[in-house]
Amino acid sequence: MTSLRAAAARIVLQSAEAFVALLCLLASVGYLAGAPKPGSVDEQLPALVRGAWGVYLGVGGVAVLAGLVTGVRRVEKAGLWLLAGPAVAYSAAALTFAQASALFPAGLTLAFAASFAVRAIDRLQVWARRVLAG
Amino acid sequence: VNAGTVVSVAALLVSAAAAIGTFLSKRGETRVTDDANLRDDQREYIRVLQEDNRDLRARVSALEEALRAAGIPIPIPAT
Repeated sequence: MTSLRAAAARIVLQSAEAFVALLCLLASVGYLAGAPKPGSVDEQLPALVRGAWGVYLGVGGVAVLAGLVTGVRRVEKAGLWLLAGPAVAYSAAALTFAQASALFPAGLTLAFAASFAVRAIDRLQVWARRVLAG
Repeated sequence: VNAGTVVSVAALLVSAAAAIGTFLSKRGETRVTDDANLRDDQREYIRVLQEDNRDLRARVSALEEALRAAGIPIPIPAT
């Protein structure tokens, strides 16, 4: 059983990750509840993909926050993978529909996906600590 | 069906597979958390202990050297 203090410490130590997870969770409400904004990237996608996108963001956001609060790392990592998928999907969709004008948002979202994946792969982090940090 | 939709669906499928695999797998969890999940203060504590250990070994070696130089036999510790 995790103490409230330990849970708070984990949230503070991983504040950026917790913030992004919360942001994704809030975004999922928008995707699942409302119709897509006219002219938006998600409007171009089939409703099924858009729905899946919303579910992934919601479940992933909850899993990351739950993993951070409870300290169960594999729940956090599973959530990170669920957030990385829609991020790649968004980048691909944005580049397809808006091409060069979507380079910045697509690149930014792709960078988020990459950082989620790196955070989810323990071996990569251990390797980075050993090799890069000396 | 356009390329954006195809890549989106592929990314969603791959990430779902990775998430399920990660959730179900416990491989490496303990070994990796030894290092990856340490807090900075814990990592610092281990570093200090390792330094102390190295320092102690160096002092023992220097003492052994001095004993040898003085012709005093070094007692072999019981194991």
